[in-house]
Amino acid sequence: MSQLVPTDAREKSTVVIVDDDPSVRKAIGNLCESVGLSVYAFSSTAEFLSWCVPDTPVCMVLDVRMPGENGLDFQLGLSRSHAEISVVFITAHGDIPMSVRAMKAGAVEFLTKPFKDQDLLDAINAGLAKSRIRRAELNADAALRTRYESLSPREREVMDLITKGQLTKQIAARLRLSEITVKVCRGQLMRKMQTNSLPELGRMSERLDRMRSGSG
Amino acid sequence: MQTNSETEGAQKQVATPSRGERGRFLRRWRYVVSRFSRRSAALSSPILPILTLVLIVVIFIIDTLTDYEIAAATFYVVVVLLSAQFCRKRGVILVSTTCIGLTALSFVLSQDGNFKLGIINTSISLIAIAATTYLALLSESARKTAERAQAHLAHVARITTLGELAASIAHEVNQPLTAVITNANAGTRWIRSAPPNLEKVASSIDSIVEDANRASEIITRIRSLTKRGEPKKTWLDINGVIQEVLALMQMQLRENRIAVRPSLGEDLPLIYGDRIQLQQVVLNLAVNAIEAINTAQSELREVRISSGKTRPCGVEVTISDSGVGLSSTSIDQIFAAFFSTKRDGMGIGLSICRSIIEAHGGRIWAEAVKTSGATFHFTLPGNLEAVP
Repeated sequence: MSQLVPTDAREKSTVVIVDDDPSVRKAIGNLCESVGLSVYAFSSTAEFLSWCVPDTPVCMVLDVRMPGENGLDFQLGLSRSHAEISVVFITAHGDIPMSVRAMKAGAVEFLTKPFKDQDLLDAINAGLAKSRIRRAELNADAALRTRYESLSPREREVMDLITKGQLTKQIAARLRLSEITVKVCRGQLMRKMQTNSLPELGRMSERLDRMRSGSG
Repeated sequence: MQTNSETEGAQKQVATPSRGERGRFLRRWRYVVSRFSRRSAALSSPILPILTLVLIVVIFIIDTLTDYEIAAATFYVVVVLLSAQFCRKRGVILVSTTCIGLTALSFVLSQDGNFKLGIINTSISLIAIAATTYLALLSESARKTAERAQAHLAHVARITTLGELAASIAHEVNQPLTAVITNANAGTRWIRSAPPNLEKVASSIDSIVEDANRASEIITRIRSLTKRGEPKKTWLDINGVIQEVLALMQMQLRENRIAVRPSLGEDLPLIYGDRIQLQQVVLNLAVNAIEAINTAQSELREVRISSGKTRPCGVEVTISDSGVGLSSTSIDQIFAAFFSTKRDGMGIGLSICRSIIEAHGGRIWAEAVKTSGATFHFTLPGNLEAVP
């Protein structure tokens, strides 16, 4: 078994199948297990939502058309609540507008039943890789935010001015502090932000701005 | 049968072909009749046209013999209304023009009475005839529009139902098929893994069997759905079936100006079969013939239907048309499901025909006519051959 495990899957990862058809669900589960992926299958999106998503990269294999719900609409909601989960669509009769919409909303792949096993496995692996990257990004963002939140209001002010390119002298004059105080403050905030280069601090500030505007 | 034999258009046709081309002349003649007559030549009854003709003559005589003041010509209104019962638009106009002409002629021929009153009365008659013609044509065109809309609707309904049915069957069968393929692939992977996981291989194969059974159950279910109308076999006369279909198709034949030439054999053996199913076969072949003629836009627009005995005691029905005909390649495939020579054909009609005929113990085949058009034959076993 171990020989066929793709390199990407060696790290713990999860495949989620959401399809209303039991045979299709079971068959895809069987295929994924045969390459050593751990699989969880659900008959509806509601059943999936009541489940506790594990803390690993997750790729969801999602049927577009299920009784009473639309996989495409569900995908939109999922990208807000679980941005780290990537989605591979499978459908019995896909058309071009449908696949375009899915791919625009960030789907990894759009496969028509019956699909080639290798196509599905490739798509799942791509999905897991994407999920892994996305998770790393989200983790880094969260860590960055924690670090930023540990700064005192004065330190935040100083960081803001530094990243705007102001010199110590200018900052001291503006905040009516001595240059020494500003320098001490700068050292402290660099330590708290876990960096010792100004360009990196600038990038962090940019990222925080983007996160703020993204959440706002 | 020749409804407006007194009309000018028809007389022109009578006068021209004196070169002994009898077959050609006959065809042209039928074509002309079919253009003026509302029903196809094969099905119209001659009573109404004869009655109309008699009425015209009687009114003309009375109108001519009586004084100017007696407006007998008003009764031509009845003639116009009668002609609307069996004529197309052109026929009605022709009859009404004839009536107007005869009224004028009577006026000229009449000798007695008050000339002034005569002119007034004749004018009233002429206006009445013209108004009646206008109203008759109006109601005729309204009826035609309604009929056409209805036929169109029926066609659309049939196509959409079939399309929807096909889509849902395709979806239903596709699911287990996907599962079969995926499980088979997974099974292969389990075998190739080192060491091979035979337990998983076995369970994959079990799933394959399960899913394949499910697919076959779906097909059984669809079959039982179509079987709902279990064939009701009785002893029947194939000529009756043909005539019923022709009666059903009257409107369509008329609309398409197509003449039907039935030559039904006498004393045919009885067939043991399902009347509705056999009607479907004849109907389908006839509708195909009409479509082929329309596609070809041929001048000769006729469908020939004949029935006859086969040895030892079966019947054979032949339907041929003057349409586009068949290529030798399509003749081989034409009865296969989902094969169609028509641009928007579903490829279902002839395959259903074949399954019905074969279920009756008969045979169906097609041949291309040398000059133009196609011919379809089917045979059915008769009383002695078919065991009830």
